[in-house]
Amino acid sequence: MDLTFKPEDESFREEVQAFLRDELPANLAAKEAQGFHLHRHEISDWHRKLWQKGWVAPNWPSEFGGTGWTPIQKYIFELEYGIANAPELSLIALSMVGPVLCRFGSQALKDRFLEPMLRGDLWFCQGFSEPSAGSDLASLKTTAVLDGDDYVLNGQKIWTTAAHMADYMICLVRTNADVKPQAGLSMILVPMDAQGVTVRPIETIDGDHHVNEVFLDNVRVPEDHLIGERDSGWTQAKFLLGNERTHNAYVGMLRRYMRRIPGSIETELANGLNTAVASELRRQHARLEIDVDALEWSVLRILASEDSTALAAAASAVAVGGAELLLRAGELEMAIFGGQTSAQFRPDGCKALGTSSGAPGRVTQYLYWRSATIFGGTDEVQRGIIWNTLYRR
Amino acid sequence: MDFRLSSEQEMLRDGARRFVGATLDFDSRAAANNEEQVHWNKIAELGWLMLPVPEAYEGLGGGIDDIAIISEELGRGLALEPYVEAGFLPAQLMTLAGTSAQCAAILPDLAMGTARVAVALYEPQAGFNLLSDKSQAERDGNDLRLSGTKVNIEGGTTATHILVSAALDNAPALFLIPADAKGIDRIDYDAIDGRILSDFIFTNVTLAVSDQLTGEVDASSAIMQAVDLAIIAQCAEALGGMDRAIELTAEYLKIRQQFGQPLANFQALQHGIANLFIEANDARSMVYRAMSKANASPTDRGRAVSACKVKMMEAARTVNGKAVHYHGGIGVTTEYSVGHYLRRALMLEQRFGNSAFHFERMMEMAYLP
Repeated sequence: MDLTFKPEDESFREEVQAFLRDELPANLAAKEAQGFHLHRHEISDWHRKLWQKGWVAPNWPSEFGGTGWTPIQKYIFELEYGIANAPELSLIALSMVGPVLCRFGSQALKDRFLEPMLRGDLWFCQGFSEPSAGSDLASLKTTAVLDGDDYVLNGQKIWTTAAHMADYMICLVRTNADVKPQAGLSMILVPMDAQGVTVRPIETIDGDHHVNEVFLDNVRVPEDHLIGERDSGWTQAKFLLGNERTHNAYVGMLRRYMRRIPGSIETELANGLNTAVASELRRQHARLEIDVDALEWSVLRILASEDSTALAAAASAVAVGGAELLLRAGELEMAIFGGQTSAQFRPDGCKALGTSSGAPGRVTQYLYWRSATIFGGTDEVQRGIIWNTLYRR
Repeated sequence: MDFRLSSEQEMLRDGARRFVGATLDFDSRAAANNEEQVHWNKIAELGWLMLPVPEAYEGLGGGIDDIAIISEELGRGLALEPYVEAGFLPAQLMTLAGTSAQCAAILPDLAMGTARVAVALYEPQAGFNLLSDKSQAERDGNDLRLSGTKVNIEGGTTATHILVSAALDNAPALFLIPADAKGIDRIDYDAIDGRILSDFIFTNVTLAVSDQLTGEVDASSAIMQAVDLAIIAQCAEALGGMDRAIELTAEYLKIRQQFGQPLANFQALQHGIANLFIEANDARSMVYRAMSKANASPTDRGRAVSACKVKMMEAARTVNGKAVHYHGGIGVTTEYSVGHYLRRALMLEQRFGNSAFHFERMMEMAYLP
């Protein structure tokens, strides 16, 4: 048993911290800290810097441009990245499409898409869920029918994050209706500028725009845009969804919040926050930090584990736990800033008088994380996984 | 980062599980005549008492991770033997605070199980203050006279020696004295978890100056460090209890039928069990985290241990409480084991400082340099 980080991992941590300190633009970090969803154009320069450093794709095999980091090093990078208020890069492209193409894609697809994704020139969105297919994803109805050299797609996707900014959608479609639902799915890359693709924004309760509906009306997609074997889409989807074993990003985000809370309380004391209230909020912070510490070490145990059954259950546990903690952190931050959270968050600034810089975005942040109990497998699906893998038999 | 046990540790764990299951656990001790000294001798034969003793004193020089392995197995089995409180803790205190002569005089016998040392630290009307000066050792010529009261001691009924803290010359000090010294009165009482606790009243007990532990580490630092490690070991015990309680409950739900089907068919209960796994999983992580700080500065170690205690005790109450609940009526009987995990959890909460005490300690340490 070795419960320490290796010296080379501590040096790596320092290297990551130094890079972020020196290279991350302060204004970008400030915007990210406020919790505002940045547009791809605002991130492209930063993406280039990371690409030049060779640090854009921790999840890719190294022969395709991945970093070759150990799970612990990946974890350290994502943690420090989150703490430093560095903005998330094109998540779908780098964390999902890239690994899928590396593993299942043809050489032609790899040659065409991998390099531009690494550079940040190509953005992707994820077309999986449908109005009638959320938790029951395998029941999805969007069809892809081969017609000559093209697949013709008809259907509708929903909750498509970043569809309004994306060049391509990685789309899970039905290519075979004569078999069990899971066995008749394929993964295909759909150009978002193709004829018949319509994107409709969905405004979510946090007041921001991240997700969309995507309507596919006789969209023609070249046959060679199908990834891997026809009807192998479910296997690829499981690979893609299971790739983020540990929801590492939660710990980085949680640490970001935990670290800034004491300073916020101090600032607000000078701003008229009642001292007894401040004392209570400090105690809530300390209690929450215990749970964040526990979550972090649960993640570390997953990273070090090779037992796939235990891993599946533990990953589900961390997903449920992490979502809960993000909400508790949001509640605490809203409580610290009190009435200053009243003005709805706007990117162009806050008109309300006497607003501390830490206040805008706190309500937005909390309302955004309400979807954490839903996306990536609802809490109930996660609990079902725990029961089925550990206790059912 | 590697959480795997070494092959020796796996053998230790597997051997402990077999032994506890055959001899010490809830079911086997109910069947047999519960012979306390016989059990302690068997524990000694297994080498468990040698683990916390340094090799220089005929021990095995094991670490807190080894102690935690044994403690977790004891917790799984609801064993009543005070291994942590009267096996590990006195060995750790002696090693830290005793001179080599003082260690050599007691540790080999402690490792063999022939010397049994009860540790007396806490006092009435002093909460969980480990450095209370209500018990006093006063100088009288060449001797010392010890007076005071100590409470909630484990292993007091079978002790050959007592390791007691008291103030000497206005500073905390530790003394190792024979349990049958004149002037010691003992009151024994049953605790809800099946253990027998003792209160000791010391009235002008004559001590030799050489009874005071005067080794490398001062008494208060030794007490803080040894107690921190004992808390880690007890948290490991709590983990064992929680894991076993969840296993028992899941098994029960699959067997118990109502409304024409096993209770395990009902999603509310499946998810309830999943919630218990989530709690116990995070609590386990806090033990590893605390173990990682076992050799850190007193502040870093103390903060990690206190945080672990807070998390563990809340988890133990939740998990063991729900385990009782999911058993329905039989969960609240003494005949069935599951309720006993909850009883033990309530007592573990009160050993070496409860959650409220440790939360405050953690808060105070957060502001230390």
